[in-house]
Amino acid sequence: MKINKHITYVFIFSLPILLLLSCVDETWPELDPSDEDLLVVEGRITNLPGPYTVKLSRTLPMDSLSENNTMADDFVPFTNAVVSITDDQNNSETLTEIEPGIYKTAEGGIQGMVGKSYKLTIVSEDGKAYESDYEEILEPIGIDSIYTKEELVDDVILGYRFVVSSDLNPAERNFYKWELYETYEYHAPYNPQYEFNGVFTNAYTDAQGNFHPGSYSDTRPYNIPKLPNSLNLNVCWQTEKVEGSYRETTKYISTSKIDEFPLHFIYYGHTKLRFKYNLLVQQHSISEKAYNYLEELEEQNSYDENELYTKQPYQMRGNVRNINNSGEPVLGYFYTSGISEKRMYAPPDKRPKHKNEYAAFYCYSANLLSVSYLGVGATNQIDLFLELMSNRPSYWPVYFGPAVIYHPDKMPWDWDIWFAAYPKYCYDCREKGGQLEKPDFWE
Amino acid sequence: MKYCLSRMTRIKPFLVFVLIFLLNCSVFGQVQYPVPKKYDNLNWQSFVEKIKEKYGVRIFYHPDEIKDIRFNIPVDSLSLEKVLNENVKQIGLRAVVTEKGNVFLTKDPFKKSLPKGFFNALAVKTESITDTETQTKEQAEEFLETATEYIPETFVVGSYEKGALLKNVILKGYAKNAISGEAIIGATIMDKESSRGVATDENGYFEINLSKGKHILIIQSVNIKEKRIEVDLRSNGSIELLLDDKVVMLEDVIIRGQRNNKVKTTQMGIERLSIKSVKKIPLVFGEKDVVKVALLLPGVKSLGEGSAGFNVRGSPSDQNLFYINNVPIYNTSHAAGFFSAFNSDAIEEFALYKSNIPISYGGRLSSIFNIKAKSGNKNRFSANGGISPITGRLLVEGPIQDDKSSFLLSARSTYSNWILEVMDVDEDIKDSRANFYDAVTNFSFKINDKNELGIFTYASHDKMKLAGVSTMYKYSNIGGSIIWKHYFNNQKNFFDFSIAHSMYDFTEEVDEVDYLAYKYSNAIDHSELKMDININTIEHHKINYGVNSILYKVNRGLKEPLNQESTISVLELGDEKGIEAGVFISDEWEVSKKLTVYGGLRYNMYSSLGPQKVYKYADGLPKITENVEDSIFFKNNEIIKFNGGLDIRLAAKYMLDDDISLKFSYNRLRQNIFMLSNTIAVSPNFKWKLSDYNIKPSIGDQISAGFFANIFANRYELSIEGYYKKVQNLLEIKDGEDLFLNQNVETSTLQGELDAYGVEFMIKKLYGKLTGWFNYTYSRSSVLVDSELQENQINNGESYLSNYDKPHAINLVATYDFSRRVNISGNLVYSTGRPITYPTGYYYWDDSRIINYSKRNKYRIPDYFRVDLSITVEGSLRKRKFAHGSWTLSVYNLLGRKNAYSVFYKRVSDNIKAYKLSIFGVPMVSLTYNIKLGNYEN
Repeated sequence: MKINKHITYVFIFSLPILLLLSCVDETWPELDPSDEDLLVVEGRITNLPGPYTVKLSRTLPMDSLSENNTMADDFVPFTNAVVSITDDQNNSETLTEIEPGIYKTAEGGIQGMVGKSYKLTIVSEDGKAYESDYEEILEPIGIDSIYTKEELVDDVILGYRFVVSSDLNPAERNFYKWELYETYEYHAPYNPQYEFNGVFTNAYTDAQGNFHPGSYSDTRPYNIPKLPNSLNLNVCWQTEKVEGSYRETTKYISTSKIDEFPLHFIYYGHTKLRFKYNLLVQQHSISEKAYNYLEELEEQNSYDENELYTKQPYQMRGNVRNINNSGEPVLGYFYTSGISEKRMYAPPDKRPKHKNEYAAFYCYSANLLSVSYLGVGATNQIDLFLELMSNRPSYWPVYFGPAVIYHPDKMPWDWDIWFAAYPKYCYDCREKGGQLEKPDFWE
Repeated sequence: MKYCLSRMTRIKPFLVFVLIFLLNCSVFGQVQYPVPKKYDNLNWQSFVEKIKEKYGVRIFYHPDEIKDIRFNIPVDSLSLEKVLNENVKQIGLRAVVTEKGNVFLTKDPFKKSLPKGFFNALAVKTESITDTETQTKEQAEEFLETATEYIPETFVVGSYEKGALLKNVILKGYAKNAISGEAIIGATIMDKESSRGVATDENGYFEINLSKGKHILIIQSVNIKEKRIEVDLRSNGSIELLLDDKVVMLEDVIIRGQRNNKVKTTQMGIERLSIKSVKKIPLVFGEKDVVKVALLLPGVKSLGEGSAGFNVRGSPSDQNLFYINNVPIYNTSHAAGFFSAFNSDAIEEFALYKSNIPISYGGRLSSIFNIKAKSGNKNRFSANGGISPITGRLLVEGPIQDDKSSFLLSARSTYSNWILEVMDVDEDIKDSRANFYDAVTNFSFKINDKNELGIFTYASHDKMKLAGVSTMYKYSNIGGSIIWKHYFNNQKNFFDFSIAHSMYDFTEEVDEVDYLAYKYSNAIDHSELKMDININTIEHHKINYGVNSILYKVNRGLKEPLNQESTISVLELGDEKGIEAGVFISDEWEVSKKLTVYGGLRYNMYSSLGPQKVYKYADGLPKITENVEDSIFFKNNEIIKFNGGLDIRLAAKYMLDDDISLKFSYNRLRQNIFMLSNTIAVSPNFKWKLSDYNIKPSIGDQISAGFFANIFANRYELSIEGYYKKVQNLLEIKDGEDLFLNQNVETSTLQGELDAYGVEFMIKKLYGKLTGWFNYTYSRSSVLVDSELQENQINNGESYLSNYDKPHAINLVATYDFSRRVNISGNLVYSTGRPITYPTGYYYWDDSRIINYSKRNKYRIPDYFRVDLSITVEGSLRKRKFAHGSWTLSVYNLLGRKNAYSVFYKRVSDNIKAYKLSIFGVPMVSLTYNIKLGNYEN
């Protein structure tokens, strides 16, 4: 074996090995400073009521790129610019910078109208003037239907594929972009009985001579308030934008209608499907130019460059330019879209059968902050825990209550009701981002 | 060892015995050939010229031994011998001046008896002086201008008195080896005019009956160098022919053939090399490769190792046309560019025309790479072969009918699969495949003195799969040609008539996902008819005229399911057809001895032919599907679009001196065929496109001027050429467009302008133990695609560097012969890194992280530098042996420098890093064994 290996290295026997001889080394090229720190424009105006937002930022140098950085970490705002949106009849509104780099139209301000064209103008703090092309808001094309289809992904995962079909449109070529917003109901598994906000009250005897002990132990020194039974923090609704880009054009198909275009996929066991799941599909009708821009932006940022034969990458400029210096690269795009919307609920029949996925995943024994038997003699543990928590405001309020505890080392059906402190989100569903108010459209 | 005779001299008769006699006499008394003091500080060349002119002396010397010396002449009227000796002493030479005006410069003390054939005189008389008289005549001026026929002397046989009554005379003689004195058996001695010939017997003796007067005799034999001599037959007489071995003369022959070419032809921007002269150049894996050798020439560049095709003087690779015996080859690479598709065993020589493209060629703007395949040996069977780490090669040739016809069969193939099976290697390696083969057959028939016929075929095939990539590439070239050459009565005028057909097919198979498995293919067919007439009988004119016609058929692409599981639907882009015809005429006119001018016109006619459906786009709007106004259908062979235009060639040569010339040329050409490829390098995945209803032909103009000189007694050839080139309607691909399955290419491409200029400096050492060349090129190339409309711009309408803009390039190629059996050879290659578009920053847009790139080709990858070395050891030089073998050990990239092919960025865990990809990042050692039947030379 060793000899064989040796032969392989000493002599070069065959062409395939040749192809493996290519090697890759790390390098870092010197860059021209003028290629860094460029203006990035992200904004749009639609036929839906405003306010509309325009985001202005600057590019970051390649070497500051790290996967740990979030978008917020990397946001270098382009501040103190005068940003305005003007329509083709010269009606204009100047946007307000509500936070660094985020510019917004006023409530009840400019309203996008189908058939009208709009442009964005930006005057930077140092007086550079930028302008986009005029972009027309196209007639929205109706959504014929949205529904789910059962799909098997990777041979094992069964779930719903949401699909959309558009209305038939007389125009020969339409360019679509879909934005999806999902709303689902979810529950926190427990109702809290006690709440600790870092304030201790000793057991005491009131003026009438009544002794007020701790709620669950005659001997424990501390007292924490009991919560009213009516407090209900465990049913929430969450609305989120579905990740992914969904685009299609009728340019290459014979009928000017989109039929069953696949949107996102959600597997049957997903907690989002546990109660009710609603999907809002926004169908944007955009220009061919904007469509191509989005398409190319995605393509250029998805292919693997570690190949011998790669496409020539290029600087993708959008439709915004420096009026006085067309050589200055301006990135991003100001686009318009005509939007039509439709909502649907995921069919109820495939909701997860599991008792409470949410609890199983997040409010499991391993997540316990503290636990105690509901019995005499076990209170010291709780006291120690409260003393610990009294120094950690980020955990407040710490909720307590009886909870189902599965023994990690026993069978799943071996459980007890213990008195326990789980993390906050096991009692208050808002901790997971949702809201307690039921959305208007919710049925 | 070869001594050369200074030319331009009235050569006096001389006899060997006279010389020997004279050597014993010291020259006393009056100063022989006094040298004026004003010759002080002259260089060797000028001194020799002046002395020759002044006294009519002949000077014999070995050009290699003469270094660049300047004469130091302290006082007036010293003798030539003294002056020479004083000045050549420093370089270890000795000069002897004979009474008859012969000057010999030698290293060793001058010997009293000279070896036979020392002076390489073409013939030395053997019979008594009174019987015949041999003398050389002034060289014809014509010989100086045409390097093809070397007939420097006329031998006078007999005398007028003796032959007064004779009509025909008998010439007798012996043919002998100039070195060994061995009789040469079976040499043919042919009178050129009457084509009457005889062969020598076992003693080398011959006898030929010819009319009185001047004759050109052509002496040929297998092992000797062909010799042509002029005899003036006055009466019966005899001569002794001293003939040179081919082996000894080999390199000189090549050099002789070329020496005057560069300076004396009107052509410029031409690189011509024979396979023999390049065989020692080390190349990767020891594969001899004409295309890779071409990359060592000035003005020729490639994107990097592993990229097919090359760029000549700043032009894209589709502006080059490759012909092998009139068969055009549309993919000239094996294994995606690691090797070229031409097996050098079967190649005689190649010529690369970079600026003044001959009028008989059209259709490509930048260069014509014309390869001449070997013809089979008409006299004897021969075979040779070789084994390198990659391929096995075999060539068989021989006569079909002695002296009349011959065949040549040559094939080369990889055997890596077999190795892979035998060896226990990595799965990854086993998974890769790169197989190729190519084969050439060439049949030559000499029907009679006036007609020659050649039938040639070419085939190559490639199958390539890279490890870890589930794409299989297959492509092949198949072609053939029939060439008929006819000489008119005078043997000087001739025509070539040829029919050629070439087919190129490409297939890509992708089977990564079963249900998406597909096969994609495209193809091009090229059929060409050409008639080319050369008239050389009009004094001072060389006229070339003719017609040619090419029918192109392009299969634009077909995507179909690869297997039954695949759900891919069939997509067919259809065929495309075009016919290109040209009528051309050119004349090379020698206005005076110093000035020659050349002019050529070619009327090019191109028609795009139906059946085809084409789109008409609204005027003044970008050609995108949104702007289609109308679609028009053309019937079969209906003319869709006609492009006519006049190609122009102009050239002039002015001889400043016998060895120095200035040249100028202007070329205008047109191109109707384009290569489409979105990738940076020429990957196997490209396809061809004809100009059509919407795509205009490219027009290229090039002006070049040059200075050419043979210096240091012709040992060096020097050239400096400058050029400026402009191409209109260059077809460029829009940013980010995919051409893979594009129905309407015009929507994804734009036509712009290419600007290129440069200076090429080249010096070549032609003979001696050390031979080779050095060149430096400064060149620039940029593209501009601008328009009022943003959609019609590339790089925002700003000019950008072309992918192959490499301003500085240096190539050094050198071979040193230790002996006839051992030589060492090396290359040194440097060039500026090619331009690249770098990622320069990133940002977020619509919640996604986006990488921003610089303007097109704003940056460069690191510079390229490589050193190669090879050692060749030949087997014994014994004459009588069954087979001759040679070993070549070559190291490519000796320093193991990791030259960048490209620089790219990649996500690695939590970071993005920049990487440099090198193709051959380590020294590549290979050992090749070559074997052939017969001895060293055969």
